[in-house]
Amino acid sequence: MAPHIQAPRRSLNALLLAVPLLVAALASPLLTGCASGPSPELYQTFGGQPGLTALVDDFMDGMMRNPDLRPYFVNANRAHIKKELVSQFCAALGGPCAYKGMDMKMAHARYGIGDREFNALVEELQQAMDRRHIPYAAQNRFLAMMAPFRDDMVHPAPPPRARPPLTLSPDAVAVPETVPGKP
Amino acid sequence: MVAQAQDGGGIVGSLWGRLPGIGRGGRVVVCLGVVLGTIGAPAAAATVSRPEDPTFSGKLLATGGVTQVEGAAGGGLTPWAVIGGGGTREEVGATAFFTAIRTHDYGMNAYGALLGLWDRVEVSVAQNRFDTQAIGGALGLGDGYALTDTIAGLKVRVAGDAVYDQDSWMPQVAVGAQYKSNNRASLVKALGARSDDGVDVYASATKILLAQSLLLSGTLRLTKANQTGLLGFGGADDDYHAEWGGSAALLLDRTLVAGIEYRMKPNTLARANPGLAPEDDWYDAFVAWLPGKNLAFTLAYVNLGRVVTPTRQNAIYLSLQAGF
Ligand code: HEM
Repeated sequence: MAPHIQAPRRSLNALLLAVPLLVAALASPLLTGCASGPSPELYQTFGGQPGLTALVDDFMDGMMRNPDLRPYFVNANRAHIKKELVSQFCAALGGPCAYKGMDMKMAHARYGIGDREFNALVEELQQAMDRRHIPYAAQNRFLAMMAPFRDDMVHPAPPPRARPPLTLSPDAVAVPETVPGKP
Repeated sequence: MVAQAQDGGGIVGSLWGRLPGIGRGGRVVVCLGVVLGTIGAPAAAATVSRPEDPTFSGKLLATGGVTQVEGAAGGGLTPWAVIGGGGTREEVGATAFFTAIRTHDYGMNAYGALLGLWDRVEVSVAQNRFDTQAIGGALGLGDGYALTDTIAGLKVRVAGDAVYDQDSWMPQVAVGAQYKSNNRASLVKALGARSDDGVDVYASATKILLAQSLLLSGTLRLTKANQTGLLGFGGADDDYHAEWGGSAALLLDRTLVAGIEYRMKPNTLARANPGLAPEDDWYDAFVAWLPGKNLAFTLAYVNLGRVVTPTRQNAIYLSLQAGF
């Protein structure tokens, strides 16, 4: 019954397949400026420190308008989160910063964040970057560095030192937007 | 406010500790409670903010791919390892598609629907209706003689995440099977095919190199199908043939993807029946536009090679997909 399997014989065809794949793989760095990972030039594409501060402000405003995300942030110290986000983004992009905030798993594991919420946040970030006219290729270089965090936030294994679960729903009390104030 | 919420557990804990009259047994219970609470932390927290009602379309735009001719999520010609529909790991999704392929001599319509379950399993049904148009008349079958292939597909994601595993080379890997049944059993057997139905099995690996805005995908398929099953299964031999398919695409912006595809096919029927032109591989260049999470349009230029007659068939391929 075991079927006799024939390997592809046509090496010419294999070549035909390999060539366009290779061409595309080689062409794409040309289109995207050749680099991946952090670099001072990428940091400048995001407008340096003023650019990042404006981006994160706009990003947080977008999240507060997003019904999937608002419950997570309505009661949080948004001014503090924004400050940490700016230094984290700055460090990731290759700017002169060091991120000194909480470990990502520690910060997020207790919130029961799902894929949907994570993706909603990514989309808010993309829209905020669009509004700041950051080129799509640079956005993707940045998002490629953020993407692996998903496993620390969505359905994570219990972190080594878990903070206790929330006893209060994060949206139980709506803090007026004006209360935490601008940083 | 957050700080208070965080400390809530601690306050409750110390209150318990201060309550008078709790003896040894009580302590044990309290300790157990703390231990259980710690173990259960993520589960308990999981109910805090995630919506309890089902949600839909939580996937990032375009990450479910479009639909290939046989009904699986992928490119146009070959499946990708992605699970179709807009559902994340907490959601289910579904899409329906209609694809029209027109060459100078032939027309093919493909249509069907798929269900994506928890970004893990994809179940699909599709039909390919191949219209021989005037060639059917020339072959004595009658103008507009059509062969219809009905396909039931199953795909399971076994490892990796094409979008999020950006810190490793690990692609998203899926395995799948497609059961195909041709409605013109007597014709395809008269042409030399061994059977009017068959099963293809395949494994796909798909990777988005996000920093490069590039998608790469490869599929190894074991198949007996002639022209994907439109001309039955088997011929000169009744063996499974290992055939490659591949896609490379550039993410041009959030709603636009352009790329190329190649799909190898066995050539068994023409070896059984010298009256038929040899079967060629398929390749295409495509542009897909996904203006929103629920909608995708794909336009492609496809080279189908020789199909029965010695003429090479260049086709325009237009596909519409809608879903959630
Ligand atoms: C790549 C994705 C993400 C990054 C890079 C990120 C980054 C951060 C950073 C730097 C902080 C501040 C940590 C500190 O206080 O030291 C933070 C806090 C927080 N994040 Fe995220 N985050 C991400 C995704 C998400 C998602 C998807 C959600 C919810 C839907 C979320 C909800 C929160 C909340 C509620 C806090 C406050 C934590 C607390 O103080 O208890 N984050 N995040």
